[in-house]
Amino acid sequence: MHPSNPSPDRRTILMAGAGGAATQILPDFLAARPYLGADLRVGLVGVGRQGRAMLVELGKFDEVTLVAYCDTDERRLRSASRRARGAQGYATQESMLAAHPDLDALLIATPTHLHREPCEEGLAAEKHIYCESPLAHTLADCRAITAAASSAGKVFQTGYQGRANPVYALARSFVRSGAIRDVVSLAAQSNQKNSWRTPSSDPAREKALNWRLDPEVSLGLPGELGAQQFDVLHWFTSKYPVRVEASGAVLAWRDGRKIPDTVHAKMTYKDGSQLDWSATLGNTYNGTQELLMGTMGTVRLAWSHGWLFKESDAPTQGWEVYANRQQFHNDEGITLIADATKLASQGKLKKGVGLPHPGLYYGLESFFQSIAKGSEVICSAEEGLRATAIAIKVQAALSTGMPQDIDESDLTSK
Amino acid sequence: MPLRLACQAMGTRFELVLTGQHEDQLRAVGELALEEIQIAHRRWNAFASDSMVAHLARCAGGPGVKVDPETFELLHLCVEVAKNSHGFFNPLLGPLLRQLGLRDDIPEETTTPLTTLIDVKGISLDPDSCSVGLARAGMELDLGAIAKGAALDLAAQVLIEEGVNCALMHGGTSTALALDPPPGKDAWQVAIGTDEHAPQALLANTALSVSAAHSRHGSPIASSSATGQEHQPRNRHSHILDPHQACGTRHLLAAAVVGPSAAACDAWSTALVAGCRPTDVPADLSLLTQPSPDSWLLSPGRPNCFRIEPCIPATPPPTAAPF
Repeated sequence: MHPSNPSPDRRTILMAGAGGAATQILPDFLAARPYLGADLRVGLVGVGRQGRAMLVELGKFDEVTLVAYCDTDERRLRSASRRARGAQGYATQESMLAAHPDLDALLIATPTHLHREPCEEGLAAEKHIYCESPLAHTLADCRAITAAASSAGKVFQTGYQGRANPVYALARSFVRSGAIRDVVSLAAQSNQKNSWRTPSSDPAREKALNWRLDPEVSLGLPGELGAQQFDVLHWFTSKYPVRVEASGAVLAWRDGRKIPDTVHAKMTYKDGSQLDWSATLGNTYNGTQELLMGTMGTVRLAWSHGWLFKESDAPTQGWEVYANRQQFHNDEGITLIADATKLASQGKLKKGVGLPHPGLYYGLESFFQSIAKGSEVICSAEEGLRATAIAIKVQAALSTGMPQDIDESDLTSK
Repeated sequence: MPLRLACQAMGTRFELVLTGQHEDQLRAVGELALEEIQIAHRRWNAFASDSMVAHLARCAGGPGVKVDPETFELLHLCVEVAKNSHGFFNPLLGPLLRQLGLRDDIPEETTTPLTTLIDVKGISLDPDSCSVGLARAGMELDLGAIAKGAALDLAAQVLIEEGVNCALMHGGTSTALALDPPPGKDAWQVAIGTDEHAPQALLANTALSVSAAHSRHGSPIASSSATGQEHQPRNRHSHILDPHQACGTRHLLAAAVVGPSAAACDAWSTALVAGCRPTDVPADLSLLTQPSPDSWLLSPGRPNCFRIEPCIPATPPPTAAPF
């Protein structure tokens, strides 16, 4: 379902309910192969963790050829060659572009604080750009990227994946059509157990490779984990917080690091509602999820799945009689499945349906569709700037210990 | 001091034991290897509706699905082992497991005969487009007898690429992969079973997989029949199936295979217990089979990576006693 679709189709929901055990949220993902209608030649800038994930997903697109990739780290280049068969590796973006001037697009997966230069270079070379999130580590860099993107006339997509996620698109259509009525509270968490250290056998490369732990350049957990979620919640509610308080500490990995491994933040909106966000690298319980609580229900999102929990006094909508449900302690969630009509007609709802690909795949697919078919960019540089600006404010609140006010001017590209 | 790291994947626990100088560095590399195992889990778990394998099942009967090169290679290996084992290894046993009550999920509605649904010829692999197709609706992959090994192979590649060469890893205790042995040792010693006289595999830059027809509680020789299973089989005494008889195997009690690839060892150990002849197993693999509770047989003419302790002497028969 396209994000612009205002509300879920009743029949879709009905059929979803008739088929499975809980209503899961899923749209038009069942095509075995996405069809772009054009052959695209792409280059990948940075083959660290995120770059390697991109290599896996790129292999699934028939009409997209990864022609070349680059990274300043020799070991990573060698490692990437395993998943980038047929593509050539380079030490710099400049040499890659010189050797392959006919690339259509660049995928930027360098460390966050190193997004600006490859984006500007790529746009100057008239390439379409997919830039990983967060957009940059400072507002100045975000604005520079946004300015370059707006004057280049090429497709520029920021890698906030929630907007491309079919489950989230359907859930959003529910929220925006009033299924949970007035939003009274927002919550999100991102829990994982991981030291966040990147291996480096070369001490000279240690600092560069472990940029996420470097307070001088890292946006920490708010930037690397939270920004995706801040973007999702804005996309659902069309509102941004006006004030943020945050606290954090090193509780799990006492190895001398300065970047907190556990963070709590409270964000307040103009209407008085709040978002409680937390993240830790020391515990995996409930993983990554977002909650939107309204007066008539709650939507719970967990990237590949989503559920609707209705309040007892919420109006009945007919289709619920048939809906599949999933029990979470005392609460019963309705799992929402988009494209359910098609699935039901194929008898494929009984087994339950989840997203067959990770969120990154849908982000890339959307980017390629924008290039090949001119479809709307799901997350422009400007939108990317806004979610990133919130993360920058949370990180500022965290590092200073002081609440940060967020002015509308903080969220603009000027 | 060795560093141990672990994660849950494929319905079991994966563990890494790494040795080296700098703990922070070792941990960082180990986490990267665990991440690789998680990526494998997300792609190859038949029980999660959001896995690539589940997507392939949904698309069965339609055009091929483009997959990542590692999934393609794994399925290529599946087809190869299935062919060379004369069907005793079979990655399409989901419908049969369900028919036997070993899986609780709801089957696809299909009129296609079971024999067609589990016919490996129905898997089409197109190397040019890196795509995979299942010929008939209702066909589904269950990579439980190979995916743990494949995940370990990928994790080992990460360790080597990052310069960690001394390590032992296992997935669910039934499949292990060793890199260089610990300092001062010739090999990692891995016991096959829990009793005092259990045979040992000696592993150095090799993998081991052990499959058993009768899983024993607490025994490390319980090969899982399915990746990431949410439901334990109801009948734990026949969890490896003989695809030709469409029932739990009655062949070997257990089989251990040592070789360079954990995925291949995983698949071949299952094939052996299911009924495959040892002579069908590639000659570079070392085999140890258990035809009866008290005996282990080493397949001749192959590299020997096992140490078998002397058997417990049988109790002497009572001498004739006068009335």
